[in-house]
Amino acid sequence: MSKHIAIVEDEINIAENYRDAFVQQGYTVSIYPNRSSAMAAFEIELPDLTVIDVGLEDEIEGGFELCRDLRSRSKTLPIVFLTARESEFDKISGLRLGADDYLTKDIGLHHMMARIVALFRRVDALSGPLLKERVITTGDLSINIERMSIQWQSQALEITVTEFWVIHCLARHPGQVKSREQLMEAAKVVLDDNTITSHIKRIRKKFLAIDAGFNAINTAYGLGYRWHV
Amino acid sequence: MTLNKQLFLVSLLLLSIPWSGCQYLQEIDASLRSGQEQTLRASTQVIVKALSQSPEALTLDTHKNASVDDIKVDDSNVDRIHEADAADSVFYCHPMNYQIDTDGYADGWPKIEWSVWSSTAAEHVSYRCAIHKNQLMLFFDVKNSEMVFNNPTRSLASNGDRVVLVTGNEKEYIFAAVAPGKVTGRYFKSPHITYRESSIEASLIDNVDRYQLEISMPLALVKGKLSFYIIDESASSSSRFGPYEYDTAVPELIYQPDRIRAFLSTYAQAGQRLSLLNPDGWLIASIGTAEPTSTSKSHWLLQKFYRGLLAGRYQGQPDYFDGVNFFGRNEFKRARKGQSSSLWYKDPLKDHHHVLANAEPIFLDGQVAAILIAEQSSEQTATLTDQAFGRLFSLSIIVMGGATLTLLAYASWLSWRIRKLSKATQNALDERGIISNYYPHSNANDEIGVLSRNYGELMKRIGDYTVYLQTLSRKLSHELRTPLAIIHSSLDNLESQQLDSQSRIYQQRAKEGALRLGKILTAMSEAKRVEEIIEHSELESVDVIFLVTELIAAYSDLYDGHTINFENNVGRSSLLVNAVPDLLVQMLDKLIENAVSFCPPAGVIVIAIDHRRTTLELTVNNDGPLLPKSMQNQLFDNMVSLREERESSATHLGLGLYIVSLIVNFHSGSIIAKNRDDNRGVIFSINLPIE
Repeated sequence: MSKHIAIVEDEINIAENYRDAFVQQGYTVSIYPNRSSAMAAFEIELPDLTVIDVGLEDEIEGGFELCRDLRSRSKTLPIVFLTARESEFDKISGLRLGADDYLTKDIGLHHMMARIVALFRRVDALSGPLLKERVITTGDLSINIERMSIQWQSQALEITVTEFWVIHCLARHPGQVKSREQLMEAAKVVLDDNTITSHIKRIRKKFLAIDAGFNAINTAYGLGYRWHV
Repeated sequence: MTLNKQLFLVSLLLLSIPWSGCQYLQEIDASLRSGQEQTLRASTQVIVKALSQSPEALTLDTHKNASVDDIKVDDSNVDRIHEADAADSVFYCHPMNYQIDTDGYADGWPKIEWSVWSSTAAEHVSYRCAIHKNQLMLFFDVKNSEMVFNNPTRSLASNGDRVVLVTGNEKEYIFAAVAPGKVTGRYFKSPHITYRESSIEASLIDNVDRYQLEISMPLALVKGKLSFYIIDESASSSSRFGPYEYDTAVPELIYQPDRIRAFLSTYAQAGQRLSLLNPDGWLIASIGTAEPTSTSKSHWLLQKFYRGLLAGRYQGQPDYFDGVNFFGRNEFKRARKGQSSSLWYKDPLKDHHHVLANAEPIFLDGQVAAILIAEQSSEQTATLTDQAFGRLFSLSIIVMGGATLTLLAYASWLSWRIRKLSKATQNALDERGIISNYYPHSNANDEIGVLSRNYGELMKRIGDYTVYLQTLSRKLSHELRTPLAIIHSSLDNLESQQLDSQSRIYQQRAKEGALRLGKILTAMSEAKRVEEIIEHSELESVDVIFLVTELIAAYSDLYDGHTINFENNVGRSSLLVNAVPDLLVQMLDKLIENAVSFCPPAGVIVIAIDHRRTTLELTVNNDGPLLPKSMQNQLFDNMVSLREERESSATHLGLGLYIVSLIVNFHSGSIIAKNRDDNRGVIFSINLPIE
């Protein structure tokens, strides 16, 4: 049975473009232009993944509301925000509400597709039986690519997909400087340098929460970042 | 010139109040004076009328024969008017109120005029005459080279130097001294016999070149007429000189009879002097003084000031002179011709004092018999104007002071309000060109209030507009993102369709365009994002030198068309600063980007770090065009770009330096941009506080 993706988006052109792309990849897609219609449908059956716009018709933050409702009903349902809003504040709010990823509409269809596929893979990996896992270990860090999970000193790190790819990109080749562009490419997002900077900052904080002495991510001023062991 | 000064100048117009007051005062003064003239004339005329109705009062002489009636006396008086110019009276007796001791010395005499008779230098005699009650007093000062005393053995009177008085009783009294001291007065009865007149007292004093003779005799002896001659004897000869010639009429003795004085005194008035003159101008009677009855009470300085003010009106007044003969005075001359006239005199002894003299002829039988001159001091009216001026002055001062203070206060208030308005307008724009929300609201109903409200409205609108402009890029980028996403997703979908090669090319081009559009949108919202990052940033200790060194290496790779040098002037290899390293990097990115874009190919860009006491100075110095003077302050504002339209490939929204200033401000630093001293480049200098 094909995976069912719900797109909650008031801009019908975008919704249909995404739908076409998803359908082409073999997914089943439903489009809901506003929160009430989406909620009504979700009452009956939850989709396998939801892509939500933050602003929904009259509700400026209807997407956030929807996310909260969904998250309360399912801990595991992958939720992706896809929005024109790019402010740090919105991004943080979205992720705090339990969204799995926060994408801006700059992202290309291909990139988005890759992220969606990755998300599905993670969900599958978590729910499915433990098969042969691809794990990269560097010092205290271990990266499980199948599950898209990261552990530091054997403690799991709560991370988003973007953050996962950034850490993955850095840690795969320790000591090598990764430019912001490279990191963006790895995370399959179109972002500006500042956003990468803030991602790095957030990642550092998450590590520091586990290990106060964490300093594995180095800044190479003007160039980028490197994983330091 | 400030408003205050302007209003002060305008308030000088208030000086016209005292000026017009002074004009008015002069008018008052003039009318008071003319009033005084009229009053004086009227009162003089009343006296004249009274006098002419009692002609016996004008019987001036005591020498007339009993047979000669009063009218005749007047006739003779009238006759004598015509002689007056030719033969003046020899003796005018000044009235005295005491008897002078007859001792030959002039000490006892008051200062009265000397009469002088002189023909040659040798024949010179000064004399004077006074009268007390009925006693006539004479004093002769005779020039005499050698004193020849009377030799009583030769004759009692007709030898030696002697003075002879000729009188109206046809007797000649001879005063020939035997020795200095008492002299006996004698007269001839018959040619050779002299008689001693015992009622006469006389004394002589002999000096080197003169002798002085003082005589006291009853007035009755002279019978109203008196003259004299002098006989000067020497060893060889004797000479005769003096006013009296043989066989001429003896001139009258003029004095002030008590009778007339008593008559006149019934008309005496305070502050007024009445002088009765005979037609020759001799004073016959005088009563009262012209001294004012009241004195001014105002301050002397004030008095001096305002009298000085009035003085201009009295230019050219003749000096007042007092004497027993009024012949030289103009009003007298007119009165002698039968005209009454008034004349103002200036008192030479007292500043700004004037004397009004009014002369009225007294007619008897159609002839001028006597002249009455009334004199009054100007002080009589001046005290009135004094008071008026005093009041005017104090009122003017109060009004002027009050008005000036009020005007000044009003001006200060106005200028305070305008200053407040101007300050509020000035403060409405802060250093970074942001319009503050607060603008004082005025409820005043006047023009300044309206201006203030209009300004407030203007500021509010400009503020709204500025906010709109500042958020425009963000809003725009936000709004454009959705349609751009539609284009992107559509193109992506198209890409996965079966397309012919031509369509594929167009799809690719559309995709490139959409990507560029996306970059522009990202750049547009960059400043806002930096602001957001700043809000969430925490300062940490950063080694600036290490940071800059690393960055220079990166920049050198990035911009290989330019030489980028680093100068470390700190003298140390590390310098810690409390900062957000990512922001510092972004700041330097923007500065270098800016420097590179202005620097000509193969130009040099120098980044230098210097260490001041508490600050770190980071300069980025590039060759290239200079900054226009007018824009230097706005350089770091939002959306200001000095670039000429030359390269279309790069996107310049004027945000780069604004972001730099945001970052510098966040680090409590300061930034200035200036032209290099050699005028061949530009320096951006950033000061950051050191840890």
